[in-house]
Amino acid sequence: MAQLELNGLGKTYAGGVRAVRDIHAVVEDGEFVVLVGPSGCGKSTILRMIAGLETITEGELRIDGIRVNETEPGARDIAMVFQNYALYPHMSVRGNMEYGLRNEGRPRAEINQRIDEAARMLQLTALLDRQPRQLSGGQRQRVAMGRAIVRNPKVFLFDEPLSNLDAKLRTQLRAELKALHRKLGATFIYVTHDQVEAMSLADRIAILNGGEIQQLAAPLDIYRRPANRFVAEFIGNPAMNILEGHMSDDGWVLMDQGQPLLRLPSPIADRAGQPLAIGIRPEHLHPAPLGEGQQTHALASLQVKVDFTEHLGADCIVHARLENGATVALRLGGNARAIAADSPLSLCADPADLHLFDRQSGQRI
Amino acid sequence: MEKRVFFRDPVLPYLLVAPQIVITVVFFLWPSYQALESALYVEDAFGFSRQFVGLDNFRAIFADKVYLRAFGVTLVFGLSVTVLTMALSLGLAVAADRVLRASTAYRTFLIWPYAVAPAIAGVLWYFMMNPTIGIVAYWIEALSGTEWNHYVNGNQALILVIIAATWKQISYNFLFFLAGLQSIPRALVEAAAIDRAGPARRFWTIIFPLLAPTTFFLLVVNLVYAFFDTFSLIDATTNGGPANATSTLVVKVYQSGFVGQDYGASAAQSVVLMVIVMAMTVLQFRYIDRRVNY
Repeated sequence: MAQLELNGLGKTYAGGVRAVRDIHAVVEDGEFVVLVGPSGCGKSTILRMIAGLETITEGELRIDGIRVNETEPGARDIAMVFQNYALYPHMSVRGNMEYGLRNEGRPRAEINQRIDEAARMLQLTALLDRQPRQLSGGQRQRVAMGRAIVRNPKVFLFDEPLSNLDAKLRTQLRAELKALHRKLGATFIYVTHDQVEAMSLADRIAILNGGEIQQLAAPLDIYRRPANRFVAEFIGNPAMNILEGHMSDDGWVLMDQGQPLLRLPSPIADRAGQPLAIGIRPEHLHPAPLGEGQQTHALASLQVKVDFTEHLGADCIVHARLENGATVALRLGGNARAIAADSPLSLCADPADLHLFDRQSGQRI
Repeated sequence: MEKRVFFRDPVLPYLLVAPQIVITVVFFLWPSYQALESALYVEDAFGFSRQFVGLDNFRAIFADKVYLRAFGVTLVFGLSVTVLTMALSLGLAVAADRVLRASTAYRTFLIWPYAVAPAIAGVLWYFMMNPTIGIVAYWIEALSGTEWNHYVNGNQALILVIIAATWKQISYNFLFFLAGLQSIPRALVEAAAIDRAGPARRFWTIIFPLLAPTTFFLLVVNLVYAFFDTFSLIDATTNGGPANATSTLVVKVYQSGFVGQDYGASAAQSVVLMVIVMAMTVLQFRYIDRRVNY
């Protein structure tokens, strides 16, 4: 159980590539923090720096207030679950689980007791004498977790632990992982590229891009108030619709070909005439009856032509196209009837559901 | 998964394998047969006549003290070369694996000795260790005060050929060890580091066991090399002397046959060698799939 402090953490590789820069974060004791981002965003590098597998070139890492930049991985009191499980192939499941404890020089009785406990928790008791190659992917992943649990570390690190499993198993293990976190009450740091994992597991999510934290907040806060355009487009499936536009002098938000979208209740004076990116989630677009697409103060409206419809059972996603060629997606309920391709559609949205971003910086306005 | 190729022309497949079969027959099967046959005859030195003697040749060589001593020399030579080679090349490979990933120049230098022909390697060491003109012999005398003369001192001669053969074989072992090391997933070593294993413990509990298939393969290869493939090196360096101190079984075959002109004894000795090779091969195939594989 531990608090983790990242003070301006950064990593520049010998070749001069700056993979991670200026990471500031405090992970509280018992918190579940997920690092998520596209590949190459530096999320794994951050995790490996915390583990001590990668040297820290800038900033400071503190575990429970003690600087550990120069501490060997084994002495940091952490455990890590790897993407490919990294089970020792020449040792049995028991051998894998007791390896760390034996390196610590624990007495035999204590080792056995801890292994029994962890094995029971993860339903591994029957598998203790098997070799890793005799196990399925899901079982291997459990052993990897068991190996971490028996160590009883201050911090658990997970490096995309579910990405090698099939979809069904992933969902099941996700639930087990969440339950495990609750049971252990330990600090978890978890790296993934899967936004569903991030949203469902995390107490807080850190969204990374280009080696920098874009936003660090609770899942729903991120979904509801994305800090910038990158976060807005990264989280959510289908992705948030982004329309290019600008602000007129009298407080209207206009689309780029001049169609007024909505009038802001209180115009932002210093933005007059400036380019904007207007974001709206698919579930916040609603079809309006034809002919009612008049601009009002209350509703933003769009005229679109339907491209195609995807029926997903619980949901129905309609893909449509604006006059200027931009595409939008809207999410309708599972009972929605399919809309014929090329039919015109009038859409409206509550202005409160709109997200405005500065088009240059991408920051939320 | 079976992949079969079908030929429409019935002759073509035989033509394609013919070169290999011809080579095997001419350079392997036929000489082997000749050796087997000659081992049962006594031939005069000029090859005009021969006489069937059954197993007399074998009885003779196993009664010969010089030949029995060659067994001992071969054993000492073979085991020393194998152990030295593997220990040194594993050390080099571990060091290379650490610094490598970037610099291939280092690897290239370590591979070079393997490209040197055995006889040339022998001559090279012959000059370096020569008691009168050899630079290494001079260093040994200057540093330790021991007189180096492998023409007189049998133990020194044996040490010399062991060093030369080891030097020659290290590159080959190094390559395999390096490949073996690089095929061990880094995550395993990292996991062990997080599991509080220090560098030495990581090596002996994770890396070394995972190298077992490579190690066993090299063990057999090195024994075969030292027992049977070092003739030209020994012949060029010490010529089997002094007083047979470096006469291994292969050198002995050459000496009996081409120097002593005793073809029957020489053939009998090569049959003994054949049996040993076969035994080692069987051993390799029986065990390489089991035990060593995890």
